[in-house]
Amino acid sequence: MDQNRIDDLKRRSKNARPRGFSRSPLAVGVALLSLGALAGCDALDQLLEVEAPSRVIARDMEDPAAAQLLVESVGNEFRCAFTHYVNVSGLVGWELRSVQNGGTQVFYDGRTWTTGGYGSGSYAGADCESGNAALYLPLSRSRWFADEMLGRLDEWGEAQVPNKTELEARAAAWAGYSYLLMGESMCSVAFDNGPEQSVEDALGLAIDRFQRAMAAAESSGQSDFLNLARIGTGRALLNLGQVADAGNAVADVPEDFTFELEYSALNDATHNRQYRSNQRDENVGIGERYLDMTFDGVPDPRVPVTDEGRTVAGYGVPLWTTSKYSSLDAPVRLAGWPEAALIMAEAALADNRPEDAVSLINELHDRADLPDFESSDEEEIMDQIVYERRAELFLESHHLMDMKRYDLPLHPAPGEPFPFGGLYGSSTCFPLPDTERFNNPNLS
Amino acid sequence: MDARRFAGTGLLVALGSLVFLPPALSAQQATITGEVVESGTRTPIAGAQVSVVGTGIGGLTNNSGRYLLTGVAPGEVTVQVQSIGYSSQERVLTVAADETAEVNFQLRTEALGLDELVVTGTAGGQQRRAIGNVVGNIDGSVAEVAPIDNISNLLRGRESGVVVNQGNGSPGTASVVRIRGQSSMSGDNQPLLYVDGVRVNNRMSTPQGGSSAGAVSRIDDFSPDEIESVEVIKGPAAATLYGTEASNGVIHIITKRGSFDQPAEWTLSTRQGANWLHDPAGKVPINWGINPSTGEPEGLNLVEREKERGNDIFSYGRIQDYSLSVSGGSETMRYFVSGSGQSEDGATPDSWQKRYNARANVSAQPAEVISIEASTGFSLNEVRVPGRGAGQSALRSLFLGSPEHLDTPRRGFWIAPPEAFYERSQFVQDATRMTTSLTFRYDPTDWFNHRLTFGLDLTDQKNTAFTPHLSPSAAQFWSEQVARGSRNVRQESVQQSSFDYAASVSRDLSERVSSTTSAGLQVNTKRVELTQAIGEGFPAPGVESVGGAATTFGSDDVVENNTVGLYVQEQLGWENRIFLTAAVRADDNSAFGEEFSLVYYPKVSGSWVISEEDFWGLDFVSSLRLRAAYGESGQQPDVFDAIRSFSPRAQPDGSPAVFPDAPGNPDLGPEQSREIEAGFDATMFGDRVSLDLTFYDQVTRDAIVSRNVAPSDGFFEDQFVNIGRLSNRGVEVSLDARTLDLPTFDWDLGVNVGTNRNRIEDLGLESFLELGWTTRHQEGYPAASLFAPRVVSAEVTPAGDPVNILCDDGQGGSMDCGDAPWLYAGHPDPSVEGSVSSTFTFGDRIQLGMLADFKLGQTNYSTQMWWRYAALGIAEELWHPETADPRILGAAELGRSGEFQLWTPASGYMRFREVSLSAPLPTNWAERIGARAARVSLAARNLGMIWTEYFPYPAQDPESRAPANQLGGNREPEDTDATPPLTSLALTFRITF
Repeated sequence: MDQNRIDDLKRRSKNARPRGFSRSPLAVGVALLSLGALAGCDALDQLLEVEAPSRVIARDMEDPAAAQLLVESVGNEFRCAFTHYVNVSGLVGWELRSVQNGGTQVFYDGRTWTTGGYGSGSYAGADCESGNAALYLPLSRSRWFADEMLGRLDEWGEAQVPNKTELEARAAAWAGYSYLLMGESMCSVAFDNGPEQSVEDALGLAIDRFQRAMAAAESSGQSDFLNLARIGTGRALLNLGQVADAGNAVADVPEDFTFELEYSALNDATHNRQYRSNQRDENVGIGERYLDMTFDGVPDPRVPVTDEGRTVAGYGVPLWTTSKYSSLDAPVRLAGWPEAALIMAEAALADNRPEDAVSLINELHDRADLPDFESSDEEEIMDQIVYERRAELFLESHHLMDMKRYDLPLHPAPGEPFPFGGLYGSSTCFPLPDTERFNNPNLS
Repeated sequence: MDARRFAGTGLLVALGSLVFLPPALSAQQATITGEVVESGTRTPIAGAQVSVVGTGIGGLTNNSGRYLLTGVAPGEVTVQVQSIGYSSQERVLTVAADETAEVNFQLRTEALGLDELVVTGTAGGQQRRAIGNVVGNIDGSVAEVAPIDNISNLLRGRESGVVVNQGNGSPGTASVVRIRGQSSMSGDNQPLLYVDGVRVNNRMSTPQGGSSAGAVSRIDDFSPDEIESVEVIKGPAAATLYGTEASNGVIHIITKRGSFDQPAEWTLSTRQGANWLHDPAGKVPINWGINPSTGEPEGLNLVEREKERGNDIFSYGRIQDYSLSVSGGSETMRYFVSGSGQSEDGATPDSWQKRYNARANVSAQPAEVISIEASTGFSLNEVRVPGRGAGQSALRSLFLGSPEHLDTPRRGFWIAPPEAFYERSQFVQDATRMTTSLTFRYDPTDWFNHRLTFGLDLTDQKNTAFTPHLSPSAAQFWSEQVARGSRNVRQESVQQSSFDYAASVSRDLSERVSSTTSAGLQVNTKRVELTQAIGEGFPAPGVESVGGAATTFGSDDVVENNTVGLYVQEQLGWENRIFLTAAVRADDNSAFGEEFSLVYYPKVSGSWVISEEDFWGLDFVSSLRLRAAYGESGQQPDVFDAIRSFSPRAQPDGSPAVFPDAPGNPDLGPEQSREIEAGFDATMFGDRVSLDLTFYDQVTRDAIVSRNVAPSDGFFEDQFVNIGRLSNRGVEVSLDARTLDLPTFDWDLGVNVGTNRNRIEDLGLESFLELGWTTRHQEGYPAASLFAPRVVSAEVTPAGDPVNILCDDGQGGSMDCGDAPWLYAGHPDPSVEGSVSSTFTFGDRIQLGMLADFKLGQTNYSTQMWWRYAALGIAEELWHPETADPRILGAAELGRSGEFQLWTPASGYMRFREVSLSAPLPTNWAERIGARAARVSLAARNLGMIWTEYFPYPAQDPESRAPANQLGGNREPEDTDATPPLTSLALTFRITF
């Protein structure tokens, strides 16, 4: 969608009368009040016409000409949801820790959220612009928006939307990743005011959308979205325990593939939240288990961390930062061949091909200038895969699900004192929040 | 339109008028002269009719209350004084030829003022005796003596049913004003504001979003010096003719206008004094921690510790106020022109206010049937308020200090010492305002009158949050991002216009029955233009503009809301003592949903002056009026609430995108409040006692509830729906008594009490609506009530750790706190509020006035306690668990992830609010400086707390509660960052020439 189009839409909304376009004339009241002549004149009616230049009336968006804008907008919403998700999953999954009190990072870090919107942690309440890490709102919006666009694209013909297949691939990929992340983080899910479903259902829907994305991407020649959807499929299958299928899903991803989401300092919704929370706002620091990542005695360059040698004023937790994200503009990798390689390694190990798994690990080590890993012990190799995923995919949204999938012990353990009072909790998934449960007619 | 430009011009015009108006006319010879003053306040009564009975000799008092009667025949004469609103008086005296006799009068306010005209929305106003509801009236002249520096303080404690809560002691910060409780669950519940018949901006806003601790209210742009009176129209039964927006009541400010046939009178006054925080060491908690230098735990009072270092955290803030006015008039015109400047410093460098006002009011009566009134007021109001939140509030850092930080640059303060916050957190609101009205009245016959009023209210409000490129001493406490500085400027230009036509036809249907038919049309428009510019990261100290910052952002928006309303009213009178009124108003508003049409507000009321009936036989009751009214009014939804819309959101590269935002509601209409009001007004014992009693029962049906929408459905900004029902019920009592009336000593006693029982009858939702950390709208409870789990038992191990912590299960038992229900803990608004005032008058001259106000049945949310007990563990009990209540230790242990009733203390109080001592200077002293009269007053405010229940644990003050929170949003009555009310003492000189 070009700028002219959005300008045109804004002009239309500016001239629109927000309360609607057809309504009862004042004449009814005028007759009652015996002031018909005064009230009936158009001038009075026009007095109720007001401007709304900052709003885009929803019905103006029901136009095929808006398809490009809307699909780009879906991507924009997912971009925001993803960087927030990386922080939430990082805090729960001990990649990050809270270094000051007062924000909702405390509840994520302490694993003590409940389903309310305020005092119980705001995974249900925070949104893209929030200073707090958000989860449910941005993911729900990007999922709904993506599916909504897929539905509209089904209704609109090629003549109305010339690049329909290209847009379909994109919308389906964003839908797939939205379902995927909800499946990884929630305890249960609900979509479109529908009934409660399992996280396995969410992951199944993610795979469904990725398949649609792959078909449309192949058809429209978009290799980036094709490979993105392949890796998304592999990730979802891995989560479902279908390791071999996951390996197959990502087998064709080229070694140079990487798909990054762009961010910028433009506004709160476009910020790289990892940099913002860790270095700009100093709400979160790096988790203790990531402060000294080494392989064979060699510091792992994939987890670049620095001890700032201080605490945030007023609090006692040491502040560690990471240079992996060094500005509000820093992109975040959504998917890439290293993830595919680790999925394939896990599949190879499950398929009794440990040497293939080791080989894939060492390809990653070569890229990171780390010594080769050598082992034929399947348990050791599995431990190394877990380590590789921690290092290679550090602060890229994976460790929360890995923690659950590999049944890793929580760190710090539940019941240990929490630096900001109370004890660490044991929650690792987010229940449907009250806002969903109380307002969705199909939930009890 | 640029309000600032208008304001500048206006100031010149007003001040120029002061210079070029003609000087006072010379007095003439007289044989009887004297002064007419109000008996309670001793303020002069202008325009009183003074006459020698049976002679035809008479005249009016001037603005100083002075009169002069000449040509009186020697001998015994009777001098009579009459003035509307006051009981008339007569004095008999003997005058001799060529002598001048002085006779002074003290008129008592006519207790019921039955013949006073009250502004009700109709063309000519209505006599109070004909109105079926109570209309409060506050005399603006009390501000000449009492310690009152803004309109909010003028309202406080002077009218039952009107709750005024400043919430923050910083000068210039707003008071939340609520009349008869909360009638809306989604709106801000602020009353509608009129000035001289024109609807004006009554918005309350913070100088910068949620980061500043105080809000500023536009009602406080007006200077009390220019106020003649304030009428308070309390509820829907009275406010029906004001229509949509009036369900929270109406405050109508009437400014001074001068008097016809009076020479110019100049009044110069100045007020000098100081603000301070009383007993600061007693208002901060003693926090515990380990002193690094001793390795031992100890308690720390930072106020005392800093004082030992020679550093007083709180200081005296100067009060300065200067005003000059002139008023008078000829046979066909009258005028009032004034200019004033006020400066108040708070107790810390980050709180102050500067306000400048100018006003020019001119009324002309070119013919007997025509009158024209023009009013223009200007104000420049600049307020700095302290910051809010952990990173912005010096006060929070003080309250949460700990010995652990003593040997650091923080000197024991939590985040940073105060001077670092003063440098970092600079929140200033700078508002320029022009309010003008023009009213034409034409009364072609004695049975028909009509008027046309145009009004314009322009406010140009600049909110600035500024952090300079911090000095190294301040920068060390914050991140590099903060230390590089930023400027956030939000400009709001609010334009409100009013068009109001009203006509009345009066006729006698028979000898006994009179009829007045009224009709009117009002058009009110409001347009808010918002512009925001943000700059972050200054390259070097001294660069302070947005344009000089490394990163800049900008945005703008326009918000409009228009209302068109019509009404018709019929009033029938029976022998001028029984009145029946019926009216209906119809409104349309641009914020109504497209499927919603007009809204109608009916009204019916009756009034019976029963004491004027022939059968009346209760001699001790001088007058008694019974009244009852039923009426409706409304509150429109917010501007965009009905629209289903996307909102723009840029992509990282700046290209456009949108996101699904507001679900909208095409059926959305206004909240409609209906009210039954009944009561009586009586005077007894020879008018020495007056008693008003009013019962009201108010229901807001179709209350707008901001219903959460399931996020799974995409558009999940709250949806506004007319599904709620909210009630307010209460009794208002006002008692005024001349307790003692001796030749040299008078004692007047006044008592105002109002009760309010607010309740959500129907929320329209299956569950509650979560508003904030602890506040909820929940059916069966008052709006925005506080809820939290309640710890009922805990045990403490020998090591001091709480275990087996159990909470109330809501059914008489106990259970694990993690699953415990959140139980009702109180509500933020008082159930009972009121005031007691006393005025002692010594001799003719010296007057001592006192006012104490109280609020009962309200609850605060003490975030300060949450931080000290649950988050930081610095409360003394946690360091001495052997002496502590185990439940406190248990709540502190669990409190981090949830709220507990320990942080929601009851906060009723009674405070010694006002004390004033005033006396006129001897006339010969005044004459030495060429003045007619002079008065000096010494007035103090917030002298001390008489009683409070806010002491379960150390906390600052029951009145400390963030007013911004109470405007909507989470409505949390939070205490952490709000400055306690400051005590003030000021000396006022008032000289009349």
